[in-house]
Amino acid sequence: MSKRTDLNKILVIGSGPYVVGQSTEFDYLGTETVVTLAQAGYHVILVNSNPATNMTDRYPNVSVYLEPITLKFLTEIIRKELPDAILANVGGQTTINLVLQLRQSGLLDQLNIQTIGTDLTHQNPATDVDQFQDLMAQLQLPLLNSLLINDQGQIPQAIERLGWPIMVRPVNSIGGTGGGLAENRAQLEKVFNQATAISPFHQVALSQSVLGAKEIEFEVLRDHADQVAAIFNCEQLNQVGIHSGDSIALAPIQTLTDRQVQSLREMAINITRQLNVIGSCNIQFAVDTKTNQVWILKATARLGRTSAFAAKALGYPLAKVAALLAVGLRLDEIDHPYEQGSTALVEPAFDYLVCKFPGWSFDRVSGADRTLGAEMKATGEVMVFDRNVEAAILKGVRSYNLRIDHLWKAEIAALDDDQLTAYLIHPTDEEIFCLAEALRRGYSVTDLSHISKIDAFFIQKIKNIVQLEQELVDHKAEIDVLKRAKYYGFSDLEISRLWEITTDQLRIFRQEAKIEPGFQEINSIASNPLVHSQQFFITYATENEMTASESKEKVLVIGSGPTKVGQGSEVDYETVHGLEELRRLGYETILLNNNPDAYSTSVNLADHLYYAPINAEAVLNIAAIEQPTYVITQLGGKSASKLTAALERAGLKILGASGAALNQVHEPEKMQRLLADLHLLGPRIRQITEPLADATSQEWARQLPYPILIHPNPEHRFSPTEILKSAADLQHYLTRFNRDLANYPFTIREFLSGDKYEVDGIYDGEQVLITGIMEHLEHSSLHSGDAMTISPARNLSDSMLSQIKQVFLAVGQQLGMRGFMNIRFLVKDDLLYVLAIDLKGSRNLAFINKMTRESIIALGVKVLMGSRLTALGYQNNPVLTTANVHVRIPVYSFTKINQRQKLAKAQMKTTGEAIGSDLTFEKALYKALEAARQPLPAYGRILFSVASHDLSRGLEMAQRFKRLGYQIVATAHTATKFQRSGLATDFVHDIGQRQPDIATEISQGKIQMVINTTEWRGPVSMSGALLRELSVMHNVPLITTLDEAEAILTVLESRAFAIEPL
Amino acid sequence: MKRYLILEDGTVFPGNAFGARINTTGELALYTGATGYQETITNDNYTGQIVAFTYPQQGATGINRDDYEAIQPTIKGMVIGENYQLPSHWQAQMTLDLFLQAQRIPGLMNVDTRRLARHIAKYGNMKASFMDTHDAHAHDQIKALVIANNQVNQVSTKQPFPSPNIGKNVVVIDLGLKNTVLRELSKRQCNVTVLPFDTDSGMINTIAPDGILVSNGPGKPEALTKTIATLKTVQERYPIFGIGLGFAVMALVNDVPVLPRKVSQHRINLAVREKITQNTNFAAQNSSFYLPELPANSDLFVTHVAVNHQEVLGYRHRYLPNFAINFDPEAAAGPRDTLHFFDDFIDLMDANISRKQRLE
Repeated sequence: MSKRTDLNKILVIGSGPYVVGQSTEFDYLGTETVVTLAQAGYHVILVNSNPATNMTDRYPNVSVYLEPITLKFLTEIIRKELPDAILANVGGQTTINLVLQLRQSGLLDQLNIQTIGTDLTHQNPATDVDQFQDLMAQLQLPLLNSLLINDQGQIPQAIERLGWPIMVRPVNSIGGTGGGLAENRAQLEKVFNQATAISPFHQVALSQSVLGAKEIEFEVLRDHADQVAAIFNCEQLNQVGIHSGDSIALAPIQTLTDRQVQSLREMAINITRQLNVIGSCNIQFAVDTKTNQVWILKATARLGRTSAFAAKALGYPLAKVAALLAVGLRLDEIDHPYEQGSTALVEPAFDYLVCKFPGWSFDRVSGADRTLGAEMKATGEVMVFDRNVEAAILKGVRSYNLRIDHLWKAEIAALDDDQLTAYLIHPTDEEIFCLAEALRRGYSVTDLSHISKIDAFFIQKIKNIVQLEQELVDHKAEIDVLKRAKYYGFSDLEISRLWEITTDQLRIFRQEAKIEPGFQEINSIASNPLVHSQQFFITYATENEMTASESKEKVLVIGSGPTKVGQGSEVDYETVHGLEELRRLGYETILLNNNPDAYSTSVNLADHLYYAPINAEAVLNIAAIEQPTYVITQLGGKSASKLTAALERAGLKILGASGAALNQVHEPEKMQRLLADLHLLGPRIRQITEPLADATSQEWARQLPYPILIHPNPEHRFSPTEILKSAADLQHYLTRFNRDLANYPFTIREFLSGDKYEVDGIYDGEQVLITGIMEHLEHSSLHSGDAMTISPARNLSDSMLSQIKQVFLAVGQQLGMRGFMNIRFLVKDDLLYVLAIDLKGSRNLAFINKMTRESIIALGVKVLMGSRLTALGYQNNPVLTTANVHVRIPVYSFTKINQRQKLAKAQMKTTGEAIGSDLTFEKALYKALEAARQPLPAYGRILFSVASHDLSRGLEMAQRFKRLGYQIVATAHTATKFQRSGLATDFVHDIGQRQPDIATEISQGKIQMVINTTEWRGPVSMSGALLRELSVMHNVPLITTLDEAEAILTVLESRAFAIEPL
Repeated sequence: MKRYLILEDGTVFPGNAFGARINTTGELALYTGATGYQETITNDNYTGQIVAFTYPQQGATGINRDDYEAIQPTIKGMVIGENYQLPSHWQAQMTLDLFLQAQRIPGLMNVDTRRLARHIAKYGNMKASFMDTHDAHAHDQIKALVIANNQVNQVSTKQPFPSPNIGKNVVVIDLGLKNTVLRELSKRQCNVTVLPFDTDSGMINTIAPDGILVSNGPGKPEALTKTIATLKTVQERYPIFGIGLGFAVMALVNDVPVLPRKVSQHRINLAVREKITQNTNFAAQNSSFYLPELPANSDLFVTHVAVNHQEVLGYRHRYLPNFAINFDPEAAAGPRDTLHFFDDFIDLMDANISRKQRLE
């Protein structure tokens, strides 16, 4: 048997834009799947609207449709391409819902399109919760006792069957939004009502609560010959009840006996077989801590977050293997990735441990609710390897948030005991910091295990860390203690802080004491530890196993690390393309990265791959052993770029921009001077360097050009930029941040309003190549990632364009840099202002690379390596052009509703983006909205709820919508204003007031689009937040700025016929 | 307390002592499972060996009453990375440290077992000693030490003993029997008599069992001349099931030589393929010998092979109801995918009984 020859074209459906709970893991999984199928000789038809992923790149044998993943577009593509088969295992839950609809529509049967891999196109136990429950009951497997209800009348019956406490989950909500725990009848009814409102099917799953149990996951592979391999298992540090995506996970399982592990493995295999999986299946278990009781929580018969973790933890190309299984290969017909003569039919033997550390972007959203529970809030994750749990935890802590260097946070250390205990009972993303703090204050391991429901095993590990801190303080400059501290993962920075010396001093001391890191090769075959995978982790717990080659010139590329809000896979896209181009140019490539979801960390993408926190210590350790000729920090986003100066100081040869150049464009005052020197305009800037008694009494503060933009010291904390309108606002703002002096200096910028452009270029020392110009469709957006953009720019004059080029040339020359540049401009009254300059690959490159049909990144890398643009065929500072119009819009996710305090503090965040490309702006916008899952309604009711400063413009738009045949609904003051102006407006109550309120109207499908803008400042109102939540839950397009509404009106007007009576 | 593991080639691995503070010497065995240390250190297949664990953390689940494979462990020492001293498991009755102290077995922790495993992978099996110092004198001592060749003798029961039940009458030849093997036979209601390794055929004929199981065990199969002679005499009369060392012994009974491994295998992730069905499963393996292939003229034929390396893992006799496998179907520790071999053994005995009845 070998791969199927009866298939030629295979349709692969991607996951679309990223949202919380379904993120960049599909970048790795999807890309590897597509590349594998194409290399196996199939013609791949790929549909994915996400421009930021490697998956939608141009590979040989792949036709990419960067189109919305909706029934309509899929049907059109399928009819056009007539694929032989469809593979849906790399698209997440949304895609599976969609292929079920495709099957129901009859299209797959009509065109005789087969399903390959696990059959996810039919209602079966792999796709349907009810059928899965029945199957488990039939097999007498211990599924967690649960039932689905949709009527309050069924509650008594449920209580009788489940007992207290009861977990409540709305059915089919994204990432489990709207669930909670009920401990009595009153709570249950309350949570039930909230959950039914949020479920698109008004259905709620109630289950027995297993809070406090350990959570274990298995990943099992199965081929069509029924061969299985339990390829991976891991244990969550956090108890069941915290979403597995929000939990620190360790592989392999840490605290169970072999007997327990084997019985879980058997169950996992049994379920995989019963679900008829061809490919990969993930099974989650809850394991009681006091008895042998085990519960099955969930089985997922497709690739997902844990698949990516497993693949990278093992150095095993799991997505590739799953793709080959889908086209008929057997596990033992696929070569092992690095053990010669061995096959993919293996189970690992770890001789290291791997820790997955979730990361949250709460810091980026003011007033975010950080409590963790049944709903996933993490926006990315990092992976660390070591040989003990202590080191894994410490590395994990400093890998996600690079401002943190140890298991210590000032905010946590400042809590009083009561607050600390409260945080431990209701865990937040800072739980592990709280545990460490409690241990420092002398809480016992047993008590903490009791309060936090975290196994004493892990708490003892944290205690070891805390004890070692004290030992370091007590034994300064002692080699033995230093050795142990490094063995258990302490950073040089933390040790030098405890020893009250500089890191350079410590580094010298450490090197003199011959305490040098080892590099262990990751191979997951403990019985054959000499096998080479070319993937390494840094540890002080074993010797060095890396032998550097001396034959070639080597380039070390610093990767971007974890996915964060504002940094998705688009940065990894640069890393991937950079590595590929460097390899083509004949260099040996070395990569430092730690993101399991990234495609760049796939097997063999770099010649040597290192997993470590992306900081100077790690880079210097790697550089010491690899001796790279050059280091590139331009292709790994902000975290890589930031290391430039430190690496330069240590004598490494950095290509691109120097640390000094970066400093000039990032330090507000230096930047202002740079612009002045070059006779360029920019917003006026002022810094507040120390606390003020009262801003309102300061003359200069009253004289600021309000509205102004302000943010605290970005080195200390990331906090979103806010708009202030008066000195009183400023005073209020400063008071909010006063607690922490490290927030100073605050930077104040003049808020300019005008046409905004983001321009990317490549500068070679003499010339510039403008690679892309994007125009913002919104005037008031604060962060470039939040803005709807169009490319090419619509209103840019030739003279303005040549001025823009001059800026690039002047800045490039002044800073003495080469390579990638990104400059944000604003045009106001025919004057060009420079808003910001960045000297690295921008987040737009992935998008640009796809629309220009030329590999910009490859070109930039050539320039970095010394080529001249002229030699590459680009003369006279050209601008790359594109045939189509492209609209990119942000995609929002929501932090989830708090389970305990009912509907408090929801906040919206951009987590991904969608793109629409077509011949006209309107069509492109239409597609972009579809891709972002915000389909435009053809008729129906539009809800307006706009901020006071938007009322007049809102009214004008509402009138235009009305003319197009839509009905207008509005809340409170919006409705009053509209009605007073003579516009027929239905009034609807705010949420939680009298019926019918907005919630009811939306969940009953009576509203087809929501236009909601908020006040400039201050917390989002509760109802405003819920309104957004509801819109997303019910797939009602949500428009949050009037500029966007304007664009939509254009689309709608362009496709409407004028229907007027004579 | 600082102590050392010294290999016979003079390589030194420092660590900290736990368990009993005594000096011992034995052949080094590397166990590569991430779980199952209790089963492993009480497994008599490791008699006389110092067992090192490649997974860097051990001890988290303590020692419990259910996972002993023998009540009195016979290993010569345990070498690990991290030792988790405070077990956190509801079944734990004591710590690994206390258990080893009570059993007079030395342990060494905070050892770089990755370096150790790589050393053994490069240079092959070797003996090792626990020592308090690592000077030239210590090296000479370990070089001079000859490891006894009679591990089975040490560990096999001295007296026959019964494990009564109401089903098939089974004789188990104890070469280093694990509790779980008896448990699996017991689950199938076998009325078992465990006999010493040097039993003669007269004893077996007196019992006249429905079948014989030759267990796994430590040491070299060639040394078991008495066992081989006895089995040669009885192999035509009774169905026989050989496991591990029993696999090697039964090969020798049928004049098929086995080869010593450069690095003995102690793993719980061996992929096994059954030739006739092409079914694959994962199994535990404790094996110092292997069978690359069967000679063409042999009475044995191959039933199981390794998926990932060239190696015979199971054979059957062409004419007699005998079969053997070179892995551990009883697992403990490890996956229990191949427990069905005990059923196969029962079936074999059933078939033999009906054959005999037909003949009569």
